Amino acid sequence: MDTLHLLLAGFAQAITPENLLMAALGALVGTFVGVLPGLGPTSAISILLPVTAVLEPTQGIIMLAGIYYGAMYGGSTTAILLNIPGEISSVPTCLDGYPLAKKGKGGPALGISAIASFAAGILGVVGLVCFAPILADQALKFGPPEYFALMILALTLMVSLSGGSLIKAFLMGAFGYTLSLVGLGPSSGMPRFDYGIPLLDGGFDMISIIIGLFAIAEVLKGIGEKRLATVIGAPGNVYPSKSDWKKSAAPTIRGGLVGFFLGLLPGCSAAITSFLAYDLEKKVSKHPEQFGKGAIEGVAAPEAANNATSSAGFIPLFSLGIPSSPPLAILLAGFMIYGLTPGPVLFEQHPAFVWTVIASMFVGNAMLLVLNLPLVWVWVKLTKVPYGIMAPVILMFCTIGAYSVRNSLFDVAVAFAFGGLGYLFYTYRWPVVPLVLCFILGPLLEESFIQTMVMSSGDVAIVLQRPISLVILLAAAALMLVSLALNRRTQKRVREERQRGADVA
Amino acid sequence: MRLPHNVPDFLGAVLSIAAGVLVSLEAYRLRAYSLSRYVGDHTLPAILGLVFVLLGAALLVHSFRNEERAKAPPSPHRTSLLLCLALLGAYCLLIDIVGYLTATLIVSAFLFRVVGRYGWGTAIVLAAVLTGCLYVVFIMWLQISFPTGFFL
Repeated sequence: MDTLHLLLAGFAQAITPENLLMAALGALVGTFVGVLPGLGPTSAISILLPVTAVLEPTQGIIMLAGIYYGAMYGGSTTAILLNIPGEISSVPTCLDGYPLAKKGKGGPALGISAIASFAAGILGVVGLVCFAPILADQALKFGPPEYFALMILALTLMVSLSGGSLIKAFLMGAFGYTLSLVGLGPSSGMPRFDYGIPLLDGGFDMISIIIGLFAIAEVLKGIGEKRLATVIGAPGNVYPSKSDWKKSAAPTIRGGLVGFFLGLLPGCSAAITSFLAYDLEKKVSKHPEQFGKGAIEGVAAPEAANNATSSAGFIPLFSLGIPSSPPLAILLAGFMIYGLTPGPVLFEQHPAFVWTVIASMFVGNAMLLVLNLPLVWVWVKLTKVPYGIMAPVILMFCTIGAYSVRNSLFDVAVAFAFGGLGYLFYTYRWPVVPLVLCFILGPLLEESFIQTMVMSSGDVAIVLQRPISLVILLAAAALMLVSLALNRRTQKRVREERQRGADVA
Repeated sequence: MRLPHNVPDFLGAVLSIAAGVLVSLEAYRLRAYSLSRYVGDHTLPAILGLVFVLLGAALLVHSFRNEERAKAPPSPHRTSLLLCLALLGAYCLLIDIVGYLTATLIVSAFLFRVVGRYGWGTAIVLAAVLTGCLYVVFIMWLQISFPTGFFL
């Protein structure tokens, strides 16, 4: 009952004109950036994160959530119309979305994608309302050993975020942790890794690193590939026909359920669930031979799974502070800019904030549907903006984004340097998401580790002696195995699709 | 001497091992400031140093295996890419010297020329429009203060 009251209070807050405006703006701007070819949700949020820093926390996070959903939808638009998936999770959408667009049915595909995303997003948010407070309530019993175990659990995410080589993923994670150590040590107060350079005493700003690794590197990739935006034909009417509705209803529900329940597991990314949903749909279909040639069910199911997983990802993020996907890792950074640490105490200490954000997700999802269906033509036109204009504009925005957090040119230089590094990492297939994840989690891991060791007089076995931390560690081991198996399967599918000619960004 | 099959991974592995040594040295330096042998600011660096060395060694071995040869995607536009990176580096320096607005105007004109391959006239007009928009939104509206340079 309490949850319902809090949710209603959240709705009252979310539909204030200012917050509605932020949700609408976030959804619009997110779609705007997400639609730009090659810029996926992660890059979109990275570019726009500093822009929200001028807002107060609730409005800022509402806008960020809107940007997140908007960018996800924008990514689907380019996947369907241009065969450019912004992220691996959009690859299954390309498989049937692009053939549909080639047949002149891009409009209905976009419409079904928006509606399936909306329905699954709502399912995910309902799940968030039901599950997150329960999880957070349990998590209130956490002490330093439990937090330390939780950080170990977060490490298992590295498997699903590895993108191939586990050794490289863990090395990048170690690099991220090391970067987070630069600055003053928490227990001695002595500078670490500063090598006599006073600028390093303040440590690296996470936004500069994120902007560099994602946004600037993405622009450099575009320049390196001489990226051009080309749209094929007219997408047709965006409102699906009766038969499209009929064909898509069941796949949407199935995809949403697969996406939501698997998305609850930290480490199970939207890439995994969207492929699973697509394959499931192909298996249950009476006409599996139509998949890959323009089956509307092949758009509805992965899109629903993708969005349900994205919404479900907010549950471990809000209640445990664990981001289960790259865009959520950037959102976690957004929380931290406002001095809010997601985790068990977030529900306890900032209930009004959390429930307003949850309520605004309903609003944001609805707004996305209302705004995007009539505006699809605008997004199609946007993909025609030459890259030669977009790239310098994005680079200038990145400069402002990196500078505005601490008003420091050092941060701008760091962003540019990491942009160059990010390009090299992309070229030689070193995954950058583990680096960002560990950079964000580094201080939390160190703090919980030191507190645990102090508490137990240097005996790390305390983590195995306390029931909750032991359960978390066992869950981490189980998740590691599940993630390894699912990851291997997804990699195999991505390779298959690459061989068939899908251009995986 | 047998050469590694995957040279980029080999170099990555060598750099990782070198990073491991550097991080371990820093951990050793920090050890002097800690009250306990196992707990302090040196603990995580020490663990990370070990992780870098072990995983770097594993990658080193892996780079000699004939499994997958990492090849850089051929980039016919490497000159544009390098020019763009050089311009960004110059931008950092210029902001401090001539101020944010002038530096943005100059560097964005070059970027439009290099990335978009526009003529100088178009590039300068685009740069002026972009700088004007940034001025209105970020300096006039959002009141962000940028460096004004040595001359103002």
